[in-house]
Amino acid sequence: MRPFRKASLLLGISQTMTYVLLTLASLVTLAPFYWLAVAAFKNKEDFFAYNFLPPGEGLFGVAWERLSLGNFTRIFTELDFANNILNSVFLASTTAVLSTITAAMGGYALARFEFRGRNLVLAVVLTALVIPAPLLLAPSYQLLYHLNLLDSYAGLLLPAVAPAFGVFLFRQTMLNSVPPSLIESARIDGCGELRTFFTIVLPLVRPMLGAYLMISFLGTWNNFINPQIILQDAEKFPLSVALASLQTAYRSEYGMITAGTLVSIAPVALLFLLLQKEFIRGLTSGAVKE
Amino acid sequence: MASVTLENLFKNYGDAKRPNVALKGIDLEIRDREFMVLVGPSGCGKSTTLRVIAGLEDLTSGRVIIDGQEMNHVLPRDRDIAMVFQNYALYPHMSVYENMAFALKMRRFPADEIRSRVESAAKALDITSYLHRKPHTLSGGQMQRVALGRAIVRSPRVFLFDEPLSNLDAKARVSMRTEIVKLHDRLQATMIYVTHDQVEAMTMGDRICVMNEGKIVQVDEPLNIYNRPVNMFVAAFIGSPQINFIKGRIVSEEGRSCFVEQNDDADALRFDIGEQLSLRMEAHRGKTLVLGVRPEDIYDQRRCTATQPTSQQFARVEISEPMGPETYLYLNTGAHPLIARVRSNDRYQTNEQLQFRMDLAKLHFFDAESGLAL
Repeated sequence: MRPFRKASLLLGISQTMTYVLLTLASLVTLAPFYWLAVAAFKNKEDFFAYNFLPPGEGLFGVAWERLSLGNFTRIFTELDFANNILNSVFLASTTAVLSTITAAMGGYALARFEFRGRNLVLAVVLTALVIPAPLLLAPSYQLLYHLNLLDSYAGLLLPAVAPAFGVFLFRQTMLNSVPPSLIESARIDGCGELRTFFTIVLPLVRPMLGAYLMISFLGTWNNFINPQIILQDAEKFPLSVALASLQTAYRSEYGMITAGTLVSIAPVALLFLLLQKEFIRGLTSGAVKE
Repeated sequence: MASVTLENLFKNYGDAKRPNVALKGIDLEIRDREFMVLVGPSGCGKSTTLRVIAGLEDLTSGRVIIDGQEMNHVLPRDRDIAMVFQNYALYPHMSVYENMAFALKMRRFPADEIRSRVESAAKALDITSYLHRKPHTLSGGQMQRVALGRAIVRSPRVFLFDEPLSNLDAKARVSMRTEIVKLHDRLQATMIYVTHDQVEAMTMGDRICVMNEGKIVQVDEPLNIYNRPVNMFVAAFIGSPQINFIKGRIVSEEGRSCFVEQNDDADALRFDIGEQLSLRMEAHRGKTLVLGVRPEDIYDQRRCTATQPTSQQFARVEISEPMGPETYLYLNTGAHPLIARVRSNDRYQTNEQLQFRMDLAKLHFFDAESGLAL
């Protein structure tokens, strides 16, 4: 066999193997979503009786008539689900916007300003990064109690708007993507510090802005522990807490939980579709020197 | 336009315990409409001086005065200066037009005036065809033209250039060099230009300020700097190939004044310096000094038609580098290496014995200890 043919055959086999492995990985990832989507439409009797769709006489051997929108109707009628969605949207979007701006500002300051104590601040940020979040639950709770911020949105928002992870992430991005001469040029051109930040610096780190907005939005949207501990009034519950309240020691509404979960995934999936380009560019920025 | 005065500038990047002094008492007067070039090796303080004038660095002490007005506490944007950076510093998310218009927008110029200024500057720099392109689609030379355009539209009192040609290839560098000189002639503006390239310094500046280790060493017109360097540093820094230095002393031998190389080797240089030079150097007779001779003042004996007094010596050709119109000869007298710049009429072989002459009228002498010109 000619070396050229041999090489191209090897390449073909390796590509086929790659696709087979990727397909398997996709199936493993998508299977729980499929299970969730199917479960949300099943009634109580069928929920544990069948793993996926109930068998029957219908198309593809499925008993389509046994599937219904009942679970979805119930979460919106028996629960204050619309309100919970609004709470989640409010909390996640406010946290995402505020934390992105403050993290970008903090990262910019640590990367491009020289001030007394800069290294100390950076050390504090790095220390905060390595402390596991559950360790901070009790002291945060105590602090919020003393500040009289329990059972309030402020109690959830304030600790989240200056995240150490975000500040550090933006610091690294600024070091790579914002040359000092651009900032100096803006100062000579007539920009004040705020205008330099918003007009020159932020556009330069746009990919990271998109990525961080999404990371922060997803983190808050999926956050269960903090709102569960800090909020007491059911009116203020976000989706995560409202859904968890369906499963107690005496009651487990699995159909409603799966329907609620499916609804709660929708905005996040939409956001990912909108920002996925920025997200991937943000995560890979700095990997290649431009 | 404006004059710029620097009074006793000190800049310490460190603190009292660990000082890191970049400027050690800079005094300089840059005249209205002058093209002043700050030149020196890396770390000599030339860029720091420029940044201090721009207001991008705070001073430890001293005063920066533009047109009689102290600028120490004036923000960069209020100094009415424009700066062209080494890496162009164009805003990558804005088009060429937006880059050029940005400073005018910040100063709330009317839209019509912004357009007319940008278009006129673009025409002058021949960048009209890419006004709507983003900087990353341009070549280095084109980007530097845009950076120049961005400075011009402002019509500032002072233009500052921080090694603007360093990132360009050789061809673009020459073309931009002439472009900037023409620009100065046309605008008649005060320009301060920082470079480490002596060719740029010699060809562009009305005056050159040579700096070393945070201090000014010499300020003068380019040819004066070249022909009358104040010390060995300036003599060595300006001129390519570098000036030859030979340590020795002037002694009397059989009623004549001779320069004798400080070397016990039999091949040590020894030549009659002639009557005129003898009189000039009378006070330094017997002292250790350094002779400086520029490569172009060393001639091949066969081609020497000079009527002026010359010395006559022998050397071996180690390497010959034909540069086109001239050839660099790396010679060795046996005791000392020398570089000569001769015309390319002849071919030279390695290890060839060459009889060479030095132009006595163009010799430089420096104090061996202080390095100062004698």
